[in-house]
Amino acid sequence: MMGESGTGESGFLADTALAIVAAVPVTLALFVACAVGASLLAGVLVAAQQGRVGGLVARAWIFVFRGTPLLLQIFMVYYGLAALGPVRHGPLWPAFRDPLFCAFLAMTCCCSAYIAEVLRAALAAIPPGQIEAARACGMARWTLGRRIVVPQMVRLALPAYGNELVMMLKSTSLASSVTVLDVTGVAQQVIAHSYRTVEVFCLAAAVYLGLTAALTWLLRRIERRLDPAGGR
Amino acid sequence: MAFSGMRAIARFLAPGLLLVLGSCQGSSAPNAHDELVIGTEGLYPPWNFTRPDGSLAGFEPDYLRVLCARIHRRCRMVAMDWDGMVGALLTGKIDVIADAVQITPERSGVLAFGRPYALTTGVIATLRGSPLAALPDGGARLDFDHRGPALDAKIAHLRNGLAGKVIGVELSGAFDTFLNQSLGSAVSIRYYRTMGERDLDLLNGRIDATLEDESYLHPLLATRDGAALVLAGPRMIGGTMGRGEALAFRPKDNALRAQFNDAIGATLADGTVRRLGLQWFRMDASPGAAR
Repeated sequence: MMGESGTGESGFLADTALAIVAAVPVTLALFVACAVGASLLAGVLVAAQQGRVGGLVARAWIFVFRGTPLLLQIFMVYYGLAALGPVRHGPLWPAFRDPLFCAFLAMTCCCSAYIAEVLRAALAAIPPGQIEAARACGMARWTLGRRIVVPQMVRLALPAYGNELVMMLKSTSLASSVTVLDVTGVAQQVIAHSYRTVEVFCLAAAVYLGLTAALTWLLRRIERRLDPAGGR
Repeated sequence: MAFSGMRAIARFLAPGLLLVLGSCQGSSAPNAHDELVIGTEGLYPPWNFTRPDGSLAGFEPDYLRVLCARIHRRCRMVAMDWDGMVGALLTGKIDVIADAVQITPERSGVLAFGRPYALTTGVIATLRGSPLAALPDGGARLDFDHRGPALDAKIAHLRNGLAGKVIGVELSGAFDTFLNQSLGSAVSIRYYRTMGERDLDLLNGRIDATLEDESYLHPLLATRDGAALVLAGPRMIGGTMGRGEALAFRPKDNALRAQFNDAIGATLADGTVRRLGLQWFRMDASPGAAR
């Protein structure tokens, strides 16, 4: 495609690629914030599930946020909450006024539900005998958690957790539906002026592929590091 | 400033949902028995909008009925999002675009425009209580095709008045290009895919103002929610904002375009466009009208 008249064509593709790459920090920032927020929230949800009342709340949370589409959740936070007087005229409005914050909040709530299920499954997979043995040795609650439960949970949860992170990275593209100029938002903007849907979306897809490739590489390294049987 | 949120949400977002549901029914291949398929947005009142029963109404559905009768062609209007409409035209899914498309230099490189059947200006809308309501040059006409010191002075007024504000605009290629090029460094711009979403954010205060066509804003201001809004600053036309609204065709469909141009000329001459404009816009929006 580098023909004689290729300057216009390759010029357009290069300009578009630059514009899209310039939006990667927005996509990455949203992803990192959501990954941290959702993981912490998921930890709280799993801890809450150990109690009776907390368990009920946590299960309701997971039921709602896993059972409804993320796009609707983003719209509800962005347009729905903004219509409520206490939000719009309250002290939190500077945050809710910001589309990036709304996308972050909705995604964190949604992803926390999925990650909580991953963590719960990992917790259930720890052989109960180990915990009983630790208790029999007189190990304190915190020590038991730190030495026996959490290290094994992390290792057991990692593959499914990594899967969630990859899904989350791609889900950040939904933030473009509430005016966030992330990779997808910029791609749509270029399309609106150039009418060249295929080329622009292919470039955006390539950027997402690069990001997910880097993320999966990182996750695999961590997995190998944590594997007790494996080497380095 | 009483803006009852949920009703407003239903008002501005429900038509889009209806349209999605409605457009699922029968949109088969074009050109069956020489039927012309005309694409429109169905979300841009009063030019074209979707009724609660899913049917299309407005200036363009009415006007295209007249034009199709004049050129003796059977026409079917289909609703689709603006961001896919040009692609649908170029790939042959539709034959004509009738969606208040401004004739802009950027679009002229891709589309072939018919004779303009309307000429309207862009204007800024903001909340009544906003400091922007007092923008200078209110009502003055800025023609960006006639550059000069007078115009530059008014652009400077506009830039100073809007400095630091958040301006929401539909991602369409006409008003957003103008904002970007003329004021991009002074304001921050939010891009919306539909008018309804933009209007909601204007009413709830997420954006400070919008730049939109007067023909869309006048009827909006007459609604219960829209009464919280006010027009401000000059009326703008020309440059990247284009000169008037026209049908858009594939560049190779010269014969079809010529047929429509004859029909448009006849309806401009016999007062049909004027009559429809008064009916839908409450003003004569035809290009010849001196305003």
